[in-house]
Order: sequence, then structure tokens, then C-alpha cells
Amino acid sequence: MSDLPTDLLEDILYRLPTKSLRSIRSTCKTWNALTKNQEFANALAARQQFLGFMLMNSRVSYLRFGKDLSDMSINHLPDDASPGWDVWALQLGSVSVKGNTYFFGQDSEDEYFQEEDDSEDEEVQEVEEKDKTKIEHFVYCFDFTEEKFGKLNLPIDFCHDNEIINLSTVREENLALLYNRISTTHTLEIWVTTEIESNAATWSRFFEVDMRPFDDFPAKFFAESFYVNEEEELAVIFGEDGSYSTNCYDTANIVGKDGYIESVDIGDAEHEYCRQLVCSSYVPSLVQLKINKPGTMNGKITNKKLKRSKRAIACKKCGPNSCSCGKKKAREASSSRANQMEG
Amino acid sequence: MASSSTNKFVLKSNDDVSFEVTEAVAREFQVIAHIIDDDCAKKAIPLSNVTGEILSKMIEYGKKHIEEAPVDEEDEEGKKKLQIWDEEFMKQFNMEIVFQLILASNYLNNKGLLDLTCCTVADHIKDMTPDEVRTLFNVKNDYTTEEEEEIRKENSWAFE
Repeated sequence: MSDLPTDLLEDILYRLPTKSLRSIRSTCKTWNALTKNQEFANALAARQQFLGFMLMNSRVSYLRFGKDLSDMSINHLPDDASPGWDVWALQLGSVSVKGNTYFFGQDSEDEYFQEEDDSEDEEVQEVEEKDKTKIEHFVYCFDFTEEKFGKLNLPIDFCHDNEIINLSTVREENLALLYNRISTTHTLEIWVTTEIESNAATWSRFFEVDMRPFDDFPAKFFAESFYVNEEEELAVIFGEDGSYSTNCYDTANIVGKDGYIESVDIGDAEHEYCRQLVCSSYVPSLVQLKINKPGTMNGKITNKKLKRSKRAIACKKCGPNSCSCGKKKAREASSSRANQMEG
Repeated sequence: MASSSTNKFVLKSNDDVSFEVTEAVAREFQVIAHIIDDDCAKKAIPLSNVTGEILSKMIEYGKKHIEEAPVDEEDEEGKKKLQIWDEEFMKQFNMEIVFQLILASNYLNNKGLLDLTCCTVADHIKDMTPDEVRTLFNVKNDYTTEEEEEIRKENSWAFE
């Protein structure tokens, strides 16, 4: 009936509500491709107010606001969209790289989760024993242009016990992964991707540091979030210092390729199950940030901490082993703080 | 511009139907406005891609939008009135005519009518099954059964 040229056809299709796209994509290959090209996606995105994911009742759900904000829909992903895995988004959140969202998660086994509900049951405990070797961990990616989930292998062997994984980004172009082994060796490992797609990634080790020789590094450290500075070859790792039985402290730890640089105490965590420290990086833009204008920040502590971090970074520039100024001072400052704490 | 309401032009369809219109109405179509500006509009303007039936409807639309044009950007009432008229105007056409109107308003470059007609089609097909869409657009299904199932699965959750 119609012989509309492609541009006019596009003009019609991009006016369709998103839910109609399913029919359109099933029509023929050309139309499927047409509704997936970048220009079309942009036109759609301009109409959509918000698209996102949330974790609701332990299930990943797809959240959409239409043109009218009251036109909101939440859909649980059916099982075939997330085949056999469980996202740890609740603890770890998700990070965004090149417009796709990455979560940390694991292949899920129903039996395994039943075990958590009823650990007294011997039969189920057996299942747990069996499954622990089977459960694999991955980084899951949701590709917004393809509307598909992809799975990335981890660069390390992750087992559940005494190990912590955190995700972060490097300039929103690459994914960074922090692997914190607490039990035996107490090492901090950071990996960053050199190439990343929704279903494949090449990882390169940014650094691996054994933290045991560093006396002023918390003996029991639980990493909660981090950011990577590629230029300075260091990372700032935020987390909880659980070395003291009475209280736990929030700390920010600057760790370089050649070892640990400085730990900055941020303050007492409020209670035993303290809230996670969450930091996220800021992608530089031309926007004048309020926090950079003088007199707009009233927290003196924040300013002090900033100075300390700067000194530590400058010290890193002196070279890994020959640094006699800043690093020593940093150590002194840090141990005097520890003394104050004990006193 | 005083002359634009008195100046008359003749638009001639590809099946030889002539319509006399004021300059203002003629200028509603960008392509014709260019012809007028280039001073090539002494005689009847032949429009080789438009039939008389379609052209008469387009002129009706152009006239209405000249006569009832909102006073200014803030004239919400005027805009609303015109919008209601647009909706009523489109109701008289079947899809075959709407497609022809899309092609013609693209050819004669009238953005308002192009928007209106595209929206009409989008509204018409938004609840259709893939088969109904294929019939309407005369599109051949080039998926294998497996591929179609794959596509359906891929999109099943996102657009429920």
C-alpha cells in the first residue's frame, strides 16, 4: 500500500510509543534495523523522560517514565531476560560506562538461596556444599541500544568468602574492579578494562598491593567504593576500618602502584552496621561547580582532607622509593592520629 | 506583503485540475514559495507529483491555517482550536489517502501537514500486530520462524 521512502517511514516510527516497537521490530529485518540505529535511538531518547533499572523485592525491574511523568510503568524482568543469575545491585549498585549499565552478580541456583532461608536443614546444606563450587560470578551488562543483557568474565577467581568486589569507572569509558581479599593475604587488586563491550571485555591489572607490611593500614578493611586516577597511577579506596572491636571508622585510603600511600580517617561510623561510604567520580565539564567557588563549602573537615590528599599525591611524584618527604610526614601524621584515637 | 492577499496563483495537479489560491495560501508550501520568490510563477504552477484530489485537501488545510492562524506564540486558545480542527480534518481519510498526503506534504514541504499526517499513521498503527502492520505497509516478512521468535523474545519484556 505504501511506498514511503525511509526518512518518511522513520518520521512515522519514531512517533510511536515505545511499547509499539515490539510489533514494528517483528515486522521485517529492515524495520528492525531502522529502529535500532543511533539516530532513531536519540529521537526516542529525546521523547523519553527516564529509563532505568531498579532492584525491587530482590528482582531486577525495568522502570520507564513516558512523556507525561505520571505515565510510569515498572516491569519485572521475566526469567528468560535474566537467565539464571542474581544481581548484587542491592549491595553494590551499578555503574554506567559508555551508556550501558554494569552490575556485579552471580549465576543463581534456586537451591542455594533456599539454603539461606533454612540453614538447619541437612539436605539443603548438602546442596550448598555442592553448589558453592558451581556458582560463578560475573559482571552483567545491560545494553540499552540492543535491550539485551551481556555477561563479562571477571579477571579474577572470586569466591564468596572473605572477598569483596567493587565496581567503578575510569572516565566513564572503562570499567574498574576492586578485588579485596581480607582473610589470608589481605591484598588489594584493581583491574581496569582496556576494551569493553556489552558482552566482552579485556582486563588489565592496574595494580596488586599486599597491604600487610603497612602498619597504619587498617588491619581489617572492608572496601566500599573507590575511584581510580590513571594519570597519577593511584586509587582512593573508601571503606570501613573494622580493626577496633568497639567502633568502626570510615577511612579513605590512597593506594599507588608501588604501595600504600596514606590513610585518611573520615570519622566514626555511626553504628555497628554502618551505612556504606559511596563515592562516585565526576566527569570534568565546563560547568562551574559550586564546590569550587570560595566560601560555599562550610565543612572545614572536607577542606583539610583535600589538602592531605594533595600532599600525598605530590609525594607520589617524587618517585616510589626515594620519597623521603611527604610519605614520611604522611606516616607521622597518620600514626599521630592513631595515637590520638587510642588515647 | 500587502499584495499577498490579493495576488492569485494557479496550482495545477498532475491530472490537470487547476486551483486558484491567494499568495498567502500558496506560500504555505515552501516549494511553491520558492517558485514565487524566483519569479517563475507567471502562469499556472504545475505540480507533477500531486493529484487533484490530494491537492484540494492540501489547499483546504493551507487555507484554514492561514485564516485561523494563532495571533502569536501565547495564543493557546487559537492553537487549541486549530488542533481540534486538524484532528477532525484527518478523520475523513483512509490510510491510503493519508500516505499520499504524507508524500505530497513532504514534496511541497509543509511541515505542519507532514507532522499531522505522520502522527495520524503512528496513532493508527500503534496497537497493531506485526501482520497488520505488514499488510498496511506492504512489507514482506523476511524472518525465519526462529529469527522471529528470537526478535519477539528480545523485545518481550522491554515493551510490555
